[in-house]
Amino acid sequence: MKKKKMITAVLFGTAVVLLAIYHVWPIQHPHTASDPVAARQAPAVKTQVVPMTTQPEFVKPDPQTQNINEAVAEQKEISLPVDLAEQFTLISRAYAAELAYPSYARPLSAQDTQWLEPNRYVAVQAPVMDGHHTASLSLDSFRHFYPDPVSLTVQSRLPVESISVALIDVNTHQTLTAEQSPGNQIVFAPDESWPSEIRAKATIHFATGSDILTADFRYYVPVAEVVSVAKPVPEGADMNIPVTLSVKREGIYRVRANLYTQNGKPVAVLTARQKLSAGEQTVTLKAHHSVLSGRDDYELRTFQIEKMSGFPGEDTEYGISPKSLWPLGTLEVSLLSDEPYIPTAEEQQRMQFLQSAASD
Amino acid sequence: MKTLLTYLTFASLLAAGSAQATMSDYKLVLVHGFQPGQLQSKPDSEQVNLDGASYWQDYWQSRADARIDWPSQERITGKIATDYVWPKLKAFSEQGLCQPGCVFVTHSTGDLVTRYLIDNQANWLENAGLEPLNIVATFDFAGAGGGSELGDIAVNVAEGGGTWNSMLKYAVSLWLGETPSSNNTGVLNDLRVANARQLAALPDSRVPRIRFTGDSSDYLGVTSGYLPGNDDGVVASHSSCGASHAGDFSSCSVNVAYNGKLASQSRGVSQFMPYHYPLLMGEGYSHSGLINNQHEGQVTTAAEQVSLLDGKVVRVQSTDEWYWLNGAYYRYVDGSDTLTMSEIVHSFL
Repeated sequence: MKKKKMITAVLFGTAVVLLAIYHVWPIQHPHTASDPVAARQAPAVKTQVVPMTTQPEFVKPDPQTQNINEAVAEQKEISLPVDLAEQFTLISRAYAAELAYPSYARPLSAQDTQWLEPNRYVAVQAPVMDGHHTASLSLDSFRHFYPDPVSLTVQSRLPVESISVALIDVNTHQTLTAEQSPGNQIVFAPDESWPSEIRAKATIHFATGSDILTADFRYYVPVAEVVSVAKPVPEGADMNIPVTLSVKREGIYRVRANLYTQNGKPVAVLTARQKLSAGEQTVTLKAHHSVLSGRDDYELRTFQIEKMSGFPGEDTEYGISPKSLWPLGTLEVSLLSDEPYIPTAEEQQRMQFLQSAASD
Repeated sequence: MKTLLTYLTFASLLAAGSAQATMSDYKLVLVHGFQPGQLQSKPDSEQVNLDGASYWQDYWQSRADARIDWPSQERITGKIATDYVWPKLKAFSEQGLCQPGCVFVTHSTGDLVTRYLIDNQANWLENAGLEPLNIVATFDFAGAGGGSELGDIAVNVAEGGGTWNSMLKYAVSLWLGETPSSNNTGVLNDLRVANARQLAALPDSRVPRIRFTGDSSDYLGVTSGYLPGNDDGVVASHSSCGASHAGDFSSCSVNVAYNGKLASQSRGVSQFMPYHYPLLMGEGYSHSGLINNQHEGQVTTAAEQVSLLDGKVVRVQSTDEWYWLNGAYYRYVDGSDTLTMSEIVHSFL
């Protein structure tokens, strides 16, 4: 009797579990009618925020979507119409997230290569010889500064016997200098009189013949140089970091540096734009409280000093930092107020534009 | 979580707190792309103006408020800036054209010209005692802001490269209509990938740049062999999508293919240039087709999800996980079975 009760209980339990699975199972309810695949009405769309590091949690589909899913068993390709306004919603969300931070202090992650390596040279693989092989001509960086040497390297699976390289002024087509070297690398000692836009024209000698590749780079005599970075000073919601520059020529300067923790984690890119006269001048980089956390040791790296174009036709020029790393010591976020950043009127209007598109 | 709440609250406040301009209040400014024929013809300013009108004639010309036309035989930071962009910027500022807000609609190299303009217009206009332009967004079709490998190859050929490669020379001449020489490469020099990616790469003003991309070719695929990943016959996806670095990308999204198929894209773009947001992808649209008035098939969305600065991902959900496991799902934009890419985009302006 006891055994019979047990069997009954097990059967009942199994039935309950199967029934529950049947109801929870998202598709394949044979008695449910399928909607036509060609339906053009957008399914109700929901937005959800999930941490990037975890799998997204999917919400229960709405009935129409579920019906579309159910059609899958019968048809392999399903078209899901999308309301474009919903896509603008996503973009406006992403843009709003950007505006939560001031433009002078933008958070960085290790993936932000454009900010972390702003002077990286992008080499292009080009077909060489009869087109069955490729090669690229690359440089250590895009912008070079006097008196640093300029090094060019040919990269190819084809063995390179030697290279002959001419450096050419891109604007006048005049040859500045020419050298040849065995192997796939060549180094030039620069001349202070070189123009800013230079083309390296390399004749590459492979075992089977020769071909020509070119690579453009920039060359500058620095217009400014970082002299010192002072101890950060808390002021309102910002940690102010005074940077002293030795400026050779007056103009509108944009100074950028990447804020790192001392253990090498990128934190934020800090930017200041200011008119500077010649001589020793100080600009202040600001680290907003929203990009800092707790109490940590920080440092500045990757200085980018631009003398911006002040009028059409005036080229941008660049300065340098003699040190690749400037320690800042310990920054204490608790010394800062927690006022949020208020976007500028222009930024607010850009946000409104995206939101208007989203509600169209 | 705190950051997330901050921006969500902030977005709501923005929506509720100030007067909303209607979309029709914004002024449309067109900036065209590279015109190969001009390398040879070297047009004067009058012809540049005519060529500019012709460039947009198919669809956008009648819908825009102004154009910035520029000659392809010149350089962006040189005569294009001084003789063509600057007079227009000055006039727009003096007329107050962009006071209600301007949306720049760009095509191809117009993307790069516009980025340079965005980074410098405030300095130039303020130094001239004028008000900077209020640019609220750009709509970039087939954007070449990340350069084009065809530009590199064309310059190599102009400098004497490719002697033994007739196919390469054919591809270049198919695109340019001629084999270039070293003294008529003009804006091709700016289009080289390394140069383009360093030209005003990181503007301060945070203008959102909405991207529209294609995956077909006007050159029967001949030029595509020289462009990494998927391309529109002239620019690779790394450029048109606005990827933060050059590479071999198959889609502007990591979840949606160019043809709308919902499937993980291992070579999809996941990191973008600042404030660059790909919106639509059209498998059937070529480089020039994106701004023309000819329907080239349905288009799909690239913005299925976006990554926020704090590492969170916001996604649109329209189904559950079975969605991914059953057969092939395709996502198409409402109305794209009859409307062209440009018509869809214009419906939001």
